[in-house]
Amino acid sequence: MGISSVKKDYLYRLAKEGKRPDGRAFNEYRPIKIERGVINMAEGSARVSIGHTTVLAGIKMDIGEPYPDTPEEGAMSTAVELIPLASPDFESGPPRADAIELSRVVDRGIRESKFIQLEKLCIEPGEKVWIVFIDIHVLDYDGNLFDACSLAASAALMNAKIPNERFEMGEDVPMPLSDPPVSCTFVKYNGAIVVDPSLDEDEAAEARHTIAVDKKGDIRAMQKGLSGSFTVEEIKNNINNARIISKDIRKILEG
Amino acid sequence: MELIKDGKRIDGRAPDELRPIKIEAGPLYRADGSCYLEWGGNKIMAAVYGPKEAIPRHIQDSTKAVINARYNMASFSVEDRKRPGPDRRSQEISKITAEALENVILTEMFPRAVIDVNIEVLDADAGTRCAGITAAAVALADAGIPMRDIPVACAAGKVDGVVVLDLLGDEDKKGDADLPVAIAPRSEEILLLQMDGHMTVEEFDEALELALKGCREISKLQKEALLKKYKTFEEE
Amino acid sequence: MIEEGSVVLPGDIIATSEELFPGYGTKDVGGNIIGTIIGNFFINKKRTAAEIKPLTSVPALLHKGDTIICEVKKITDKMVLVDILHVAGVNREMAGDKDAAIRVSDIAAGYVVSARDEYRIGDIIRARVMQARPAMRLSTEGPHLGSIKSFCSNCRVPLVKKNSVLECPRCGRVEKRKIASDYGEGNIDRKVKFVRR
Repeated sequence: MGISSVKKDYLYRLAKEGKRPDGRAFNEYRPIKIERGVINMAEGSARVSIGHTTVLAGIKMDIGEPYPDTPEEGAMSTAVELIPLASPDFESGPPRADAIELSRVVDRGIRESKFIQLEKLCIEPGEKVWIVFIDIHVLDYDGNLFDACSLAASAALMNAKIPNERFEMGEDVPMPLSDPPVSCTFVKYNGAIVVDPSLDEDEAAEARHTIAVDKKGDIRAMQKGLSGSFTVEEIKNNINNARIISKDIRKILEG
Repeated sequence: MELIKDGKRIDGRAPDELRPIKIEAGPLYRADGSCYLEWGGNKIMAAVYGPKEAIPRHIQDSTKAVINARYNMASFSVEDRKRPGPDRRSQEISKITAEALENVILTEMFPRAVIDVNIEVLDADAGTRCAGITAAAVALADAGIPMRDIPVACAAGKVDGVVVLDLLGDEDKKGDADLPVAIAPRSEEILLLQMDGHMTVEEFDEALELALKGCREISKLQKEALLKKYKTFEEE
Repeated sequence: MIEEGSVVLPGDIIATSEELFPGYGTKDVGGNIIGTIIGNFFINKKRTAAEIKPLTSVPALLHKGDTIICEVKKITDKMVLVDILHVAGVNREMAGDKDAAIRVSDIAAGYVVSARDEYRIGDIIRARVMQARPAMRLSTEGPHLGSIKSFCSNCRVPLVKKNSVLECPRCGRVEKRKIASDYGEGNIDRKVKFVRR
């Protein structure tokens, strides 16, 4: 049981009064800060803060064989590491299910919006393609890792260069990209639905809904998580709110 | 490749010169104490949690706190992407880091507890273990963990037959010897010492003296960083 | 000896051991009194000791007068054994032992026959530290101390406060507890002042 069940009582009571523990409105996002190109050794990198939550994404590239079903496309892989530096609740060791879910949701947003133009990462069809490794290190966990990791991954990709020089293939060139997805996460507790959950809200959450929106406002990936449920109305409402909120986030990302 | 030319090193430093170092105390919100450190091309984040109940119970020591250090390199911190998770090198560094830090921490005040020290190498350019210990020491002080001194670390080595302070990546790879040292600065007791390569006994004496000189300079920077955070805090 | 009030870092020499005894945040190392934490040096005149008033947060050790949140693990007639979960106003995990006990005489102001009449296993209780050393002694005497969350003995759902008793929202069962005035509100950082009997 522990202290989290008591914290929940507090959040429930506030939610009934239409309040959140940090004083935000239900559809209010925390301040976002993006620093780009912070890691010399990486092909691209970005450090993103949403409130006190801070994550660092680094891009590394290597040359490998394409997948048999996409012989003329590069490949990508996304891994989020919940290292114990970021929270007393994160343990060292192999990634647990929640880190894997997080990695896959971030990956889907990028993949389904075709943000990386993988067809331009082919070197020799069927033989040699670029593989893009997106590694995300969580440094400070104060809630909403889904959006923070997604934003950091996009910002790092936008900062990345193909390291042709290191592989003696000519000059470095920018990563071939289209428009980035923007992720927007809502959680529900005691009937209240709030955007950009803080840590206490993440811990009290009964259900979570992440929506990746493209530049047109279309949906590119979604994930409903946790054991609670949403009504159809609530899901539609979240999507509408995500379309509005993601416009502001996109401005900061494309800044 | 010539590593020393006209008495200057590849980045223009004199043999006894450190790379630029920047230390920030307490950048993290969640950790009990933290430190961000840039040292040449190295970028290190350190965070401390605890003392807190040691779990599982069999790791508890009924006479003192256990120091659990975890040195980890981010996948993107090196030229060829590193697979996530601990390898033998990082496990060895974690162990000797914990041992060096344990020497100065008043562990007897917290029986059955554990103090977690997390060191993340975000960007690497030689000397990450020294940078890690230096950052961890600041994070421990920031966490209010009682210590009889603030440990500090620095390496010396030999390149092109010359004894030099604070090797950078290419010097480490192509040089003749590397000597990382950590000390408790007040007494200058040695808390960590490793060496690999080839040195005469006379060269070792010279290298150790250089490493100690480096430690003294970095110790000042650690203290400045802590005072910068807490003196302003006091005035507010 | 350095000037009183100056900021001290771990390892700084404050005085010699002829001048002062080592107090909170200091240690005698080879005849010198050194600081061990970051803070302001001052002299505890009663004990002629060097002490440090910390500027950082410090490890969460319990002191007399602290308000804590704990969970009931075991009950006998005379004793409630608890696990301390949280120290009010402290944003760090407990540094020391989490086990503590509340004696039957320290549960409430009136005469309590058996501790089992006032608390049940699983109750989340706000208590006050009466004594931290050598053994931890807690009290829940006073209007703002006692259970802040209890569960129905039948269906394990949280009980709801109704007048001065607790009721199960599922089965309607009524249970009695020594409850805090703000039962069910989830205030974990509320500090309660000492009320003399």
